[in-house]
Amino acid sequence: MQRLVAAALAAAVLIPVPGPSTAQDVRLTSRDGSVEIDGTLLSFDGEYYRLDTVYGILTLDGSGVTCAGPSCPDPEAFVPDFLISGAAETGAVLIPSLLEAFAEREGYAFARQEEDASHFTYVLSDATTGAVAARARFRVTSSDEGFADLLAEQADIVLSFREVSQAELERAQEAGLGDLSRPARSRVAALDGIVAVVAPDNALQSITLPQVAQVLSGEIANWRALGGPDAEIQLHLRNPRSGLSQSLRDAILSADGPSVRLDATRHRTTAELADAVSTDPFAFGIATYSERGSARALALAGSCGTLTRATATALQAEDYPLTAPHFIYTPARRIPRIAREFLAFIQSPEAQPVIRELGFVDQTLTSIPLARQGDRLAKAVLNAGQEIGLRELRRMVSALNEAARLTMSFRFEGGSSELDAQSRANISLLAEAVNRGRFDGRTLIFAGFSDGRGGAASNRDLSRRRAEAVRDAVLALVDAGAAEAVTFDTDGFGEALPMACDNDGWGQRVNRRVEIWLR
Amino acid sequence: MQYGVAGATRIAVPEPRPSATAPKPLYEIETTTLTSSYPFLNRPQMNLTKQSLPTPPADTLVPATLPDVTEDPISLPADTAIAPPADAALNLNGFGIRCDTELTATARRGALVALSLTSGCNPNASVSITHAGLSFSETTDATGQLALEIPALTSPAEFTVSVDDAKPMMAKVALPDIGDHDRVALQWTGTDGLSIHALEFGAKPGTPGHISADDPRTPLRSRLTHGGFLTHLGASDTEGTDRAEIYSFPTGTIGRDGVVRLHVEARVTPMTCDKTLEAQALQTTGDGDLRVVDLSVDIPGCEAVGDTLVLKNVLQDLKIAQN
Repeated sequence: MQRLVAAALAAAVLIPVPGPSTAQDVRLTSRDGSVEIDGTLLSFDGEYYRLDTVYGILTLDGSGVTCAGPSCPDPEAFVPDFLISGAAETGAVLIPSLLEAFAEREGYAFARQEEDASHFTYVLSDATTGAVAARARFRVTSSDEGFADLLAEQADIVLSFREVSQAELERAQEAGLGDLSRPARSRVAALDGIVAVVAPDNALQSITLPQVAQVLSGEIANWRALGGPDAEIQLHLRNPRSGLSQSLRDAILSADGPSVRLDATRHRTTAELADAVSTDPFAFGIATYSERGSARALALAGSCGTLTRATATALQAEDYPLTAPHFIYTPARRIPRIAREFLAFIQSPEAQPVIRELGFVDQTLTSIPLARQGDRLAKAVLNAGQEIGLRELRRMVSALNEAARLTMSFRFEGGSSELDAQSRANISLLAEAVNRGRFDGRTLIFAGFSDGRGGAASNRDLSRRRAEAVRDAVLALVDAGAAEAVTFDTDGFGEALPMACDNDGWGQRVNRRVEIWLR
Repeated sequence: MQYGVAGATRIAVPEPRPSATAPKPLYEIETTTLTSSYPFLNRPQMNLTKQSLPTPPADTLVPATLPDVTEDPISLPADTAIAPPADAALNLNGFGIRCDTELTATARRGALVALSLTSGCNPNASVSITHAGLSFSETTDATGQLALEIPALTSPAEFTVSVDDAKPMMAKVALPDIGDHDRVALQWTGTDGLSIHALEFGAKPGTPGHISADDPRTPLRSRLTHGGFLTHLGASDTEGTDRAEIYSFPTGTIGRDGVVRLHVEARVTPMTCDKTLEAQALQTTGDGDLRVVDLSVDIPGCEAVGDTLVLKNVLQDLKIAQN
């Protein structure tokens, strides 16, 4: 038996999983008849059979075997069929619209079949012959259920509005679905942010992050405490199991901190939440940048007087602290080729205008010339003093003069030297842009900055080391030829150009960064 | 045009057609194609055989005031129009309306197209109209006329119109202000079917910001209330014909940020239950293109008659951002 399996697996991947024995409904036989494998057909993608056998789950190249049994697919009539499951934030509008754009670009006609509120299917067909080319089924519920569908061997693509949790990561690993945290398994479809929202006619313009936490916990329950009228704050939140609520807990409420007010109005969708807030002047809600609807997003005030607004540019550059990417996870098994092509399309430059038009934040690299960053420079000059002298500022300005800052930065997880999720995705995004020749003949400056704690000299050192680490991570993914066409510079400017207040935890995190400048 | 003659208008606001002398600097008619190239329609004999109406007694005859072709800015130049038959009287119907089929398309404020069809010898005839992938059926009135006001989906807007399955005519008109308007259309076949619902700026269902067939608003009213309006196209009293709804929103002139939520409702009726309803959704996009989605909707079984299926994501919400 051992010998037979080895022979059959010459062109196959073996993923053993412990599982109950099931009905043996197909038999795959090698062309020369020397190997036979019985099992339950799990899937066939037009090229490969996935079979649950007594040896575990086997993936076998269809060109090397013949199939016999009641469940054998007809390779000629094969239509790829895949399930996209997960967060409504990502799956209701963004991914279907991108699928439509993909179909149009590839010359497929498409039709949408509505089953119920959360299930629909796109049928892609050849525009001339009408032959069905693929079925993309959508199950649009929550990030939690997306991962559950993946673990249940149902979903081929998971949409999530939060990072995969440690528990999900481990269970996926155990189930043989691979390491979902690896770049090959996870990607960012679009960027987004968490915003505090009020009605357009509410006078409040900005709020501090601690105040947001206090409103959530009920410590601040009256608008008077925020400079408003004597009226109770009506709190509106998503349901606790939504990806937004989970991200919110990670971003604003510490694990051991106070919990959320119990009398908050919970909403099934962010759209419903935004609509409810937009028509009630005493409402306060937590929504997303893309689904803020008719409600107004508040700027985040720093304790030293800075105001940070959630704009597309600020979210791309992560200058706004509460970023929340839309993730796509795929298991470490074959998914149909058309699905792989679709995933590649989502990250292509062609998809970015579609993403933008839908109100999400795309990942197009744009640049902001130094001349348009007067505010930041003015702030830096005002901050100059004992630690950062004019000489250091002059060095920074001359290093960045005639350069433009790209709307891509690298930031780190709170209290660690690990890049955060968006920044990890940026590594490959930047490397791809270099590989495509986008920066040929130009200089990319990796400019490190730090927060203001600690001495100026050590901060400068630290920021330079961070810049070098990011450059090395990018270079590791850049083709040798492409790397030669671009000059890679690194520099560290310590605390010279703060973006937010160092007194605030989130301000420190925003200030600790590596910016990318292009000259 | 003789708007006073009969209840010719179904949807259009019966305002008088702008006269040739009225200045219309904003809207220019690009081209208008009339019936000229379809000679069989214009043969006098043909017209005579089609004229089923008995000649009314003289005192009930409506005075036949023919439109002055030369003064009409959207009529074709005389050299491309069919010359009237020698005996003009033979080419009029009992109401004094010309039998020559004539189609005009006029741009109106708000990227609307006033479509006017005269075919005096085709009273109560079925008219199928297509525009930018949208198709619906109407009928001419007893005098052989049809006037509609249609929110355009593209500019230039092309309309193909055929009366009683005759060879189609085309009219084309440019709409300079189309960029200020977002439009969403839904089309299907049959009486029972789908309906567009728009909730403007957080409006709750049933409140004034909820635009649907129950409260469609008119283009004029929409200008006053700074919101959108819904147009129903297709004769609503004929079973099995094509019909459509268009929701129109003046995004470019609204002057505020926010969102218009769009959803489609499908009523479960004895006609639709347990069936798959085929429809098409069309939506203008920011770059002037049209997003077209073929749609099929599984309607629940007949035990659910009376229920309504709400399809939230078939249409994309309109996100309005003032920059």
